[in-house]
Amino acid sequence: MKDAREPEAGRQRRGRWIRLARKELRETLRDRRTIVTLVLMPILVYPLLSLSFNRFLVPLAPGSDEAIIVGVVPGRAVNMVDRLLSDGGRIARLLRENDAAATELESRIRLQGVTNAARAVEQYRVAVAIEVENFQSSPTTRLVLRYRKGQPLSLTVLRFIERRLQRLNENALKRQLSRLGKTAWQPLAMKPIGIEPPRSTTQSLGMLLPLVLILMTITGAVYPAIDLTAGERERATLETLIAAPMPRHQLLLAKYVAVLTVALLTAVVNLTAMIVTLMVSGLGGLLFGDQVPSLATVGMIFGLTILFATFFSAVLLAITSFARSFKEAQAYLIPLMLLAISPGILSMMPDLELHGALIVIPLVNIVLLARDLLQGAASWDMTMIVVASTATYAVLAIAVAARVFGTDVVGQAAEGSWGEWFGRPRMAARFPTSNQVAAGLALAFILFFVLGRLAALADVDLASRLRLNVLVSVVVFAMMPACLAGWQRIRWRTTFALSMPSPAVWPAVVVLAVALWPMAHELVLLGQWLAPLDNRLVAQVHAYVNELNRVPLAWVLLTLAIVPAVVEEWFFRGFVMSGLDIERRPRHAVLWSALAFGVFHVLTPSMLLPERFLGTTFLGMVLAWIRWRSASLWPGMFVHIGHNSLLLIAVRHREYLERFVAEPGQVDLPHLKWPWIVASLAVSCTALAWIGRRRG
Amino acid sequence: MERSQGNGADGVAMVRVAGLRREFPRAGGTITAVDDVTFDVRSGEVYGLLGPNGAGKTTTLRMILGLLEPTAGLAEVGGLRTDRSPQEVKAQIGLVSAGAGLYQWLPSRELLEFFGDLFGCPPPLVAQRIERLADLFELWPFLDQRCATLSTGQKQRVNLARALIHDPPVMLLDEPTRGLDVIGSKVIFDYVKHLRSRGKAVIVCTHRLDEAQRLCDRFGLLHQGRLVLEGTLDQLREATGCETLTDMFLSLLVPKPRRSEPTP
Repeated sequence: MKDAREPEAGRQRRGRWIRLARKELRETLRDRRTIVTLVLMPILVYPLLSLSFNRFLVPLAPGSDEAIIVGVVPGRAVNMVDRLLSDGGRIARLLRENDAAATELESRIRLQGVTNAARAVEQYRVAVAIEVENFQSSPTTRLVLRYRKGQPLSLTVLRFIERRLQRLNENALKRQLSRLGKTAWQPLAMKPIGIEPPRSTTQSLGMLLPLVLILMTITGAVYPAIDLTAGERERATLETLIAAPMPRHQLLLAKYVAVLTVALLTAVVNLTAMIVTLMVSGLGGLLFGDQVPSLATVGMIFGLTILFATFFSAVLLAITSFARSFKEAQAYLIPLMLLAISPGILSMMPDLELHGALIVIPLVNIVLLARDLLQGAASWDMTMIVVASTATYAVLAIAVAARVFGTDVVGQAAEGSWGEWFGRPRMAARFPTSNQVAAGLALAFILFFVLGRLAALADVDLASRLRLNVLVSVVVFAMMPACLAGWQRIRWRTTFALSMPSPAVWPAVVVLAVALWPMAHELVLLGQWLAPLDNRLVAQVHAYVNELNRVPLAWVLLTLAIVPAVVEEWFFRGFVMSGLDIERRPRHAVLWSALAFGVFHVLTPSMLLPERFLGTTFLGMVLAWIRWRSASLWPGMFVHIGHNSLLLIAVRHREYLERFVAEPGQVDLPHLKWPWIVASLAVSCTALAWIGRRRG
Repeated sequence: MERSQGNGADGVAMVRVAGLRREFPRAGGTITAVDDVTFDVRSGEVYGLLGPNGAGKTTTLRMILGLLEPTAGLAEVGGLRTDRSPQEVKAQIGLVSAGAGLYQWLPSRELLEFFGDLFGCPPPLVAQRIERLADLFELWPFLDQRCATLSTGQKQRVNLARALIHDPPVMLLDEPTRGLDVIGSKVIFDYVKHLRSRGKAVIVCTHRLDEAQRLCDRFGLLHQGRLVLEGTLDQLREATGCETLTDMFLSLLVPKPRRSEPTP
């Protein structure tokens, strides 16, 4: 009976998620609040915004006929200043210097007597104030020009006035020379010619549109994402929904389709309302020049809207799946929105190119692709990689949402009270909880950043700097988790795995300490290939290495190899890994602790170093695996010290590295010869397998 | 096609729970919500899973439904294990929960159609069942009205109909009378009688022992996650010497006196 029903049930199930998506969409769109806030409001808001722009922005823009007031002190000198500027203008016209912009500006300038020049400028009553200091009392008239720093209009008017007065001075000089029977002679003749950047409609759009699309797609996706996930919980419809015989991923896929549709609808309505308003109000020219966006550009914008909406709908759905209520979901989304705006601003940085690791960095890649596409600078292969990676991130986010949606994991994280987080429990625990690990990681990051920055600011020699770095590492990665564990009554012995391992693991540990570094080295090079270092950074690294070579090796090993290895093992393989449910889900603990280890090596106090991620995450995986299989912190600590030390020795004795183990003829960090890499891989795997079999 | 009444002969265990255990992580260790619970429920039988708040009733139901993974033990519905065949198990269960909400923007009919579809019922069959359930629960006056506009009693009836739209052989009722007035509670009593008459295996979780005594055929008394007593009312009376379920529970809650030294 069951077997006969199965094919039909399978067919029905496949079509069911589409009907479910239709229901989700129907329900979302029937909610009048959605339509009003997402669709009708923009139609009303954009015309209102355009009215405000017309009132406050247009008067300052080129092409406006609004008068620009120039103040004159004393007021009775208005006629004199007017005459000076007119004379200067006449000369400029004779010299054919007057361009259209100068003529337009000249026609808009009105002189007005004011009593206090500085105050008039300060209070925005005038664009520039001209103070005639010795009016009618001296043959040389001294003019003080007061302008407002940083205000483009004031600066433009200042330059205009300066040029006019300069022409007058030059003309007076020429006349004096001609009276003496001499001609003015200029040793140098200059003619500056400004090159206009190719400013097309798409050029301006490329700068502005990514940010606009981010804001619009997020705005569109926020409400349905919350409503269809946290809203299910809040309305108490969640349990009946997940009690239905429908795989969780199909439920989430249906919800995703609904969120995506509303996000697209909102973005399209907003964009249309915005463009129509701009064109109708005359502000289009102000922002995009004279050209009207072509049909191809409109198509491209729509394609980009889909890409942004694909990404944000999935990410928002994943995040809101963790929430139990609207309020909680909104609290989660505020940081995301702030984070999302920063990549949007990247599109305004023309020097930032879409290459290397940037092609696959979520959101940053779409923003740069949008800019390049609209400026006609994107290539097909880049476009395909960005689209494929964005689709992958969306699938991953939906998978996360499907794993979390409706599970009891959601409740547990939010249930913890402040007392549980910061209060001292009465009972001792063997391991930290996941909340305590999250608090420890957050605290470590903040301390690492603040103390690291303070240490970097100290004006000391390298040896003292190394000493400071050691202090920072000890405070952040050793003392902080130790204090946290002590305060929370978490047992040190179990959490930091202080028991000794089986003696049989030590030979393999020694082998690993020696054999691991070639692989880590190659992964660092791979990271650098994916995210190439710029020349400035390369120069900094070279200078640092040269300086380091002057410090005694023992000191370098102590401060950069031994102490960091000890404290990092204490924190990452001790505190963090123990709190990630190491007893019941050890693989999960290995993976997440390694990722945390990798991320901490990327987020240094001075700058982001993404090229370190692969190498350190790999090392983190190996060390976490050793910690799990040996049930002790000590073997991993030994391997970590050995690995760090050998890398530093390799850097110091680079000539031996190049002579024996590296490929010849490479300028920067050299690749190792492949037999060394293969040998390292084989020996490391054997040693890891050996440790694995002798589990503590 | 309509499922035959009872979907199995009387005496066949439709629900089987064996050694079920569930722990939840808490600061400083774990807490055991359900501890080694074993019982079974046959077709046409109403089983009362009773206990005070926090006894582990809802956690047990969630494990039977496959919404929560057991730490140990197993739950079977219609011979299928919930951990191995979760979708097939869910298809055989109807869930009624006191706190269950409705989709505000859907009319009752669309809501029933939606759940019929979710449970894989063909639309003509769903339409037939909606008519039958509308007769049974008197849904006709508001069948095409949006759920947001319904009264509490009307919502309750729509919810009961929703749980039966796929005609499941097993019904789980979690605190079904919580927050209901006398009339609402009577609807539930009639509903349970209806389910019994249709040969369903029914598990009712409640802390209202007087109601349970009227509704159920057999009882399982949960206390601090453990099934401390199980049987028919007569069997429980015999085992405890108490007349009512309430008295039985109170006797369980009173700590047992320490064995005293023999008097000289």
